[in-house]
Amino acid sequence: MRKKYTLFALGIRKKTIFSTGLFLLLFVWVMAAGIFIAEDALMVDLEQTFSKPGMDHLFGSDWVGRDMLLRTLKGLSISMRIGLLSSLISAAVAVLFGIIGPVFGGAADRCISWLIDFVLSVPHTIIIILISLACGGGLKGIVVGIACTHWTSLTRVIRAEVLQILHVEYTQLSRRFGKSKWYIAKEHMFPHIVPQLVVGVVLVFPHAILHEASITFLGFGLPAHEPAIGVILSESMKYLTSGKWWLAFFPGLCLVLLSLMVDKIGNNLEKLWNPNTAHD
Amino acid sequence: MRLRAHNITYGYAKGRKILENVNFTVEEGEVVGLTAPSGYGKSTLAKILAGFIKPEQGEVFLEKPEKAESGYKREPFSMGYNPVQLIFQHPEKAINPKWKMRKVISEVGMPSAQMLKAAGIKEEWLERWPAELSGGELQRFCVLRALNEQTRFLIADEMTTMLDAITQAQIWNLVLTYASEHRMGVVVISHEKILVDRLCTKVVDLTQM
Repeated sequence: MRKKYTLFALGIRKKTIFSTGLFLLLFVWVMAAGIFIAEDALMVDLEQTFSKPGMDHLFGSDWVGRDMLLRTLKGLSISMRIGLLSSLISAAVAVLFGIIGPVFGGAADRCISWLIDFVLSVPHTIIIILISLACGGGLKGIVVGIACTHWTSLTRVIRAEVLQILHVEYTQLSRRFGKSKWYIAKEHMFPHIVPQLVVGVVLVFPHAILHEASITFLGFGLPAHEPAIGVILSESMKYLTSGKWWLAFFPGLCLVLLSLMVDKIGNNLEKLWNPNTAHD
Repeated sequence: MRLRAHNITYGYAKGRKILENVNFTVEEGEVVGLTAPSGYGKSTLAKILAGFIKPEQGEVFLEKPEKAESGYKREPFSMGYNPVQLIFQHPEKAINPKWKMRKVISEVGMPSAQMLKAAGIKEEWLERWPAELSGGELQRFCVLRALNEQTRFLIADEMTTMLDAITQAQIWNLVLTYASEHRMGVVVISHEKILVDRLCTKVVDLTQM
């Protein structure tokens, strides 16, 4: 008996696919749940202010009696949307610039390199505040601000990768086989960029959430009634000293778990994609 | 048809030319050996012939026999498929590690089942990643990829140096059979004098040029 088909005897690859699927499902569920929580579920209830975590309120309630579980879910959902949108946009910009630069070379490459240095040389919190203000604040302002400042490091990584692949024998051979630059970029280079891309998106994601929190904390981001995780955490600071630990603990824990989960998804996808570990 | 390199000069460092005024021709269907010790520019000449690097001086062109006269007519390389193909020493570098072998072999066009069999490629290898095949197995793919009707000249730069004797014999057998059937010119670059003498109808020594 070489093979046994039981539930727990899955291969590593199957396990990886299974856990990735589960995480993605959870991710989508939290995001959807946040969207479907109506405004009136977060009603003020002054009889139940500062109730400790218990059966009525799993995560406790805040200073006006709003349920923290619902606020946390809603907050996570908003933060995830910001994180996802801004990391996807910056990844798209990075791929575009990272490939165009080396492939076309010359002036295009110099322009892009200069732009990277320029954006990196200015502290990005200031640019995010400026862009966010210029876009009229809110979710849109933050997403545009973060996307405009976070494409640089990923672009550098991709540019380096593409520069290297451009001089490898198989791409040079592909040119002699009469293939176009577009074909080489799409077929030869893109598969090499994907791991960097996944890692890049995964790294930008928590960054975006933290920036959202800090900008909101400074008053340039989301309006105070939106329960984004940054808003919740900065509010809870006021009550932490008087022993209302649950206001910060659960939302904070959820944020950490979410970041870990995104990290795990990224790692799993990389593992599945890489030919050296694809059959494990 | 004839592949001709005319007065080629090339150097990597300033002031030191590795190739100086080198002339080299291969007729169609001819198997020419190119020998010289390391550092005499064998691989450089191979890359120049296949259009991987541009010579500082001189040019490479294909000549087509003209019907009316006995002379040859020059023809520049077109932008598409290069009729002069180069095979490298290390097949693992000439294959994209992120591609499955089926995609690798069909980048130019899927060869016939008969050709696959002649090259000793097993059907199940096509579904594998390059990291799951040995150097000899990969080199068969590299060779077969270049053996199609559009290739008029094949330059084998230490093509079988890394391989064991049996694989070496099989690959050369395939190339020489194909070359004689399709009137393809072959340039054999190797350190091994015995191999070159066995394969080639003409041997050129770069140190004598």
